[in-house]
Amino acid sequence: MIDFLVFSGSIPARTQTFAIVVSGGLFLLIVYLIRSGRLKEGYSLIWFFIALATVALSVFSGLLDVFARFIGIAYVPAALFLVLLGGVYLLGIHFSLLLNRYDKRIRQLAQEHAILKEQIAKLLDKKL
Amino acid sequence: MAINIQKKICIIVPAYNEEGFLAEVVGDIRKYCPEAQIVVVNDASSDSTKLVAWSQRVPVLDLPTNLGIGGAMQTGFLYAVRNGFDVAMQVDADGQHDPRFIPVLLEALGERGADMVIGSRFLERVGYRASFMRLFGIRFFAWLIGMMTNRRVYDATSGYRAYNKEALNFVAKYYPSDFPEPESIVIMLRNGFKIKEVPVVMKHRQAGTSSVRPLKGTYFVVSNAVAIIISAFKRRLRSSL
Repeated sequence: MIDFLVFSGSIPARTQTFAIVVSGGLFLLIVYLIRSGRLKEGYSLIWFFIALATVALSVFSGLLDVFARFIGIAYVPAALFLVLLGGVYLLGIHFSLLLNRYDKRIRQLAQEHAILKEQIAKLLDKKL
Repeated sequence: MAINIQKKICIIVPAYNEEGFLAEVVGDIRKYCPEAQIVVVNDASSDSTKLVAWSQRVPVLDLPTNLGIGGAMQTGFLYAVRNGFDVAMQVDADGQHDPRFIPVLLEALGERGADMVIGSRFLERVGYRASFMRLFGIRFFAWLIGMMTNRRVYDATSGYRAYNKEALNFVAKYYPSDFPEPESIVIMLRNGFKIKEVPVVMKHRQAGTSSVRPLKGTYFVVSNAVAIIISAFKRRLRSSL
């Protein structure tokens, strides 16, 4: 009984099948991108776990029921949106951090570039 | 032979599309502070700022991409640190910072035990007439900085500044990028630097356009205020206090 609940929950079988197919497809896409080296280590981990979590939630869709009941959400799909929103929120922060880091690196590179150019100009000037 | 114990002074002139007055500003700096080394930071201008600077025979730090006033100034600070300067100054290329006051700022830096000296428009009521909104913004920053640091800084948005060696080393490492003037004051105060203000008379912008446009004024005030508040809570960056 418990097993049955965890596997299907209150979501209709057709919806669950659709969710499994879509999340499975996304998972394969992530694995493919990591394998082909297009998704670099830093991001691959975060996406890998997101994909894994989506697959797990659609296979064991009853988990969503358990989670919804636990935090007191009556309408189960709403719990799904909560999880998704939370994930997107965290991803947003993650990308902001990355942007900040790259912004700093670009600034440093540009500054070094300008200083080096001045040094070269000075050296060439001396030579002439 | 007299040993030269004079301090090496670097005057940083950040320039973004300032072909109009750059030559005159460089000339005036030479007139009022002939012993200083001038360096122009060209912040990826689209006009002939770079050529004008070259024609003045001063070193040009030519940024490959526009970094904004904070990033441009920091480039100048880095240059000054690496070339062993003892004092650095910022003099804007638009003619607003009258080079006549350079010796006044330098003197205050040497005599009054300050790490940074700001040329302030509001210690004496002469010259510069700010619009009501601008005045409100500047007063507001002064009040906010006072709240956050318990220190009074009258002209927080003035970029007319001189730094001693210690302050220079610090700003070369840590200088905010977007609207750096008020924020850098809070950061420096929090890290134990002493800031003094001396009255200067500023001219109205002679060329170029202000980086603070009327429509963006509100954005400027809000983001500066946020930066001031946040930087007041940031971790201290200098350990030896």
